[in-house]
Amino acid sequence: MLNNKTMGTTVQNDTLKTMQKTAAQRKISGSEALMMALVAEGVDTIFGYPGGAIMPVYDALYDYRDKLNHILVRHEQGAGHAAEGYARISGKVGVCLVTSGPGATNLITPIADALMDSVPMVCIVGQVAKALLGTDAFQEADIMGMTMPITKWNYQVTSADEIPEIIAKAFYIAKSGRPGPVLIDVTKNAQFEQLTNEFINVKCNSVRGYRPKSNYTYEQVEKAAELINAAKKPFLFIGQGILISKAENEVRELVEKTGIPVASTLHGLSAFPASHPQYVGMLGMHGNYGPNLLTNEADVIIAIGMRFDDRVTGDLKRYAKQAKVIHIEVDPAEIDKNVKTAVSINADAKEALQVLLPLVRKNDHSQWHAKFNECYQQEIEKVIQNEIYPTQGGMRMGEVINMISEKSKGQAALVADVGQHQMMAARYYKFAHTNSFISSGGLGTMGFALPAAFGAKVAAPEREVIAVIGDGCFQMTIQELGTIAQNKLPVKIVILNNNFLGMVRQWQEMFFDNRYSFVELQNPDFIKISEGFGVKAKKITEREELDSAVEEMLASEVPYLLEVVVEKEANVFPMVATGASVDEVRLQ
Amino acid sequence: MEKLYTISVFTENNIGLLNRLTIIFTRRRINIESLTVSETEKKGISRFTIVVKCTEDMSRKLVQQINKVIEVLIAYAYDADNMIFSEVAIYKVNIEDPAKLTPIINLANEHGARVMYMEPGFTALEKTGTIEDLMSFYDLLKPFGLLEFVHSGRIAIHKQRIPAHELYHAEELTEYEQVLN
Repeated sequence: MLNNKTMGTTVQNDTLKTMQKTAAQRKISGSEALMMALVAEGVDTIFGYPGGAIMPVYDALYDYRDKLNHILVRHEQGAGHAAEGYARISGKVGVCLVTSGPGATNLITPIADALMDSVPMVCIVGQVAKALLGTDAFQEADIMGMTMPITKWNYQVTSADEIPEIIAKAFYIAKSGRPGPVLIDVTKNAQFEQLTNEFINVKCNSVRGYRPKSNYTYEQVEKAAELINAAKKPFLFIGQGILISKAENEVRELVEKTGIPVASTLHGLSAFPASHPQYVGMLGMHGNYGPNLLTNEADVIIAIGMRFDDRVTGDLKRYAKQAKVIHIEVDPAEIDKNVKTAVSINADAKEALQVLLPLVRKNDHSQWHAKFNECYQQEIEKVIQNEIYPTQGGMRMGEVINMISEKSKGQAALVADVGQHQMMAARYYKFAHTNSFISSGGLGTMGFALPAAFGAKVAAPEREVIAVIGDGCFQMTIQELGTIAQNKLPVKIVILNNNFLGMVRQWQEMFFDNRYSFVELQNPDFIKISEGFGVKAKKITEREELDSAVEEMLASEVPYLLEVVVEKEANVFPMVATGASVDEVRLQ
Repeated sequence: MEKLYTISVFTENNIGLLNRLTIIFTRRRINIESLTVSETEKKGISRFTIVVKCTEDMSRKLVQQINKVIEVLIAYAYDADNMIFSEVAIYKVNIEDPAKLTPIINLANEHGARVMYMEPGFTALEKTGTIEDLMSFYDLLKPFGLLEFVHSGRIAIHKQRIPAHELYHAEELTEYEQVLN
């Protein structure tokens, strides 16, 4: 399997070389080989939790503490989401390390989450010794079988000799093409065993049968350009693919050259500056009014790095039927999956845009833009004004997000949990910096934000990272306050507390005849809890306190929790109800 | 409109591949009508032949999802018009009454079946063909007393001249480069 090319061009890491030399002189264990392989992949951080079947690896890690920063979480789910946050803000592969059985099963939710949201992640999990497989041994779980449907790839390592190549392959698969989670199940004997030969550091460049690279013809791009040039009402949708392929500049160039209005999916947020005059807002169930309504008026839709999720499309049978759709997407399985295309380009967003840009003509589309402006004015009047500048009642979630947006000048990274507060964070934060909205979109995992926020902070310590969390979500992973305190990770945590599972309550109000079935929470004293963990905290209940409280939070150099008691029964609008068409978007 | 599609999948011969493929069908509530797996003439490469009843759109989506599985080299789906396919069946027939032996052998010869095994009391016949051929032969044997019947899943090749190995690029290897020594 190895070809013996010596890579003269590869950066020669002196530390690695020394490690390698010393290691070559002695027999090394599978566990140490694992450490060396991780270092060789450029890993600097591991989120993990030790246990019986992974102890040899933790023992090897003890000698690598200066190279691999291990962050001890409070629950394996936290490790998974932290690795996701780390990956989302940096584009690097997030790594988690857990034990077998319950350690591994606790990772299932973050793994499923990472697959849905295309997050590069490598999960290394312990497993009972090969001889015990299938015997119902202590903490044995068939994690391979369980994670097959939710990983991009998984593999069980049963001998130490496999480790260097399999780790190289795992990282290559996790980060190439459409990124995703990879799980490597390492039996305990493989961790203990010594490698037969000396450790050889390998890089994986391709895998037979796996073609993550672009696959399109120039003619397809020409056809796309023709459609764009001839369009009267073209509309550009951008998704997370823009962020993953780092195509922000190319998108901006396309938009400014062609004059096309641009809207973002939930995960595409921050790929395009929110203040740009051609930015018309967010798509989807709680997206902006104009983008939803006018999707069914556009004559050409250009969708880049997005997958037409049902929360974006509403009723597919009545979705953009009048439009010719151009879909630029790296995952061929997404093309024509939900929406039939006129032209499809199976390519990395940046690459495709670079080919497309010279082919499109300068244009203006000011009349078409005016329609979006009209819609926006209506939305301001009916929704936004009262949401961000309310004059009566309790504090509104939008008002809080708007305050944070202004005080942080749109430069912070927002890590939102799942529910009303998530939608408010997405709607009212004016993103001015790329890679700044991190949330669980596809799977909608409550409890995501707290661990993802500290994961993001570890990857980007220079950035202001603010977690926006509801009182329900907070209690799903609240124990990670301990990780934040122990590792002194200065994330800012905003709890928007309405004592309700707000989004479910909104649906019960709107679609279930006000029958509030198990949505009201009797919450603990979050301030005491936070302080108990060693995280500074403050609670506000009055509008007058908001300005200074947000300032105080942003000024804090240590982890800080701000609990804001908000209006109990406020709703998120606009809304495209389930089963409705995008042009049935409601303002109230 | 739903009809039968034959999906051919070339894969690495790895543990768990069968599971990786079948979950793609179960998740979409598609019942697998038949499934045949064996190693190809190339060592380490397996071929799955999966028959499903679904719409054309679904068959295309299934193939796209199958192609996403890392160890899958290539997958494609064809309807009956574009495939050459066959199945094999074994019929265990009662011959306790020796007088029935001759008509059974004659019937076998007429229908291209072969006697695989015989002992006092029963014989085993083998026949290949489409499922329709196999079942009509079954109906003919039934009056003689069928003790047991089994047929395989479908195996199939497509009607294009292109050699299969050109489809799945067997020569591409997993590439590792040695970074440091």
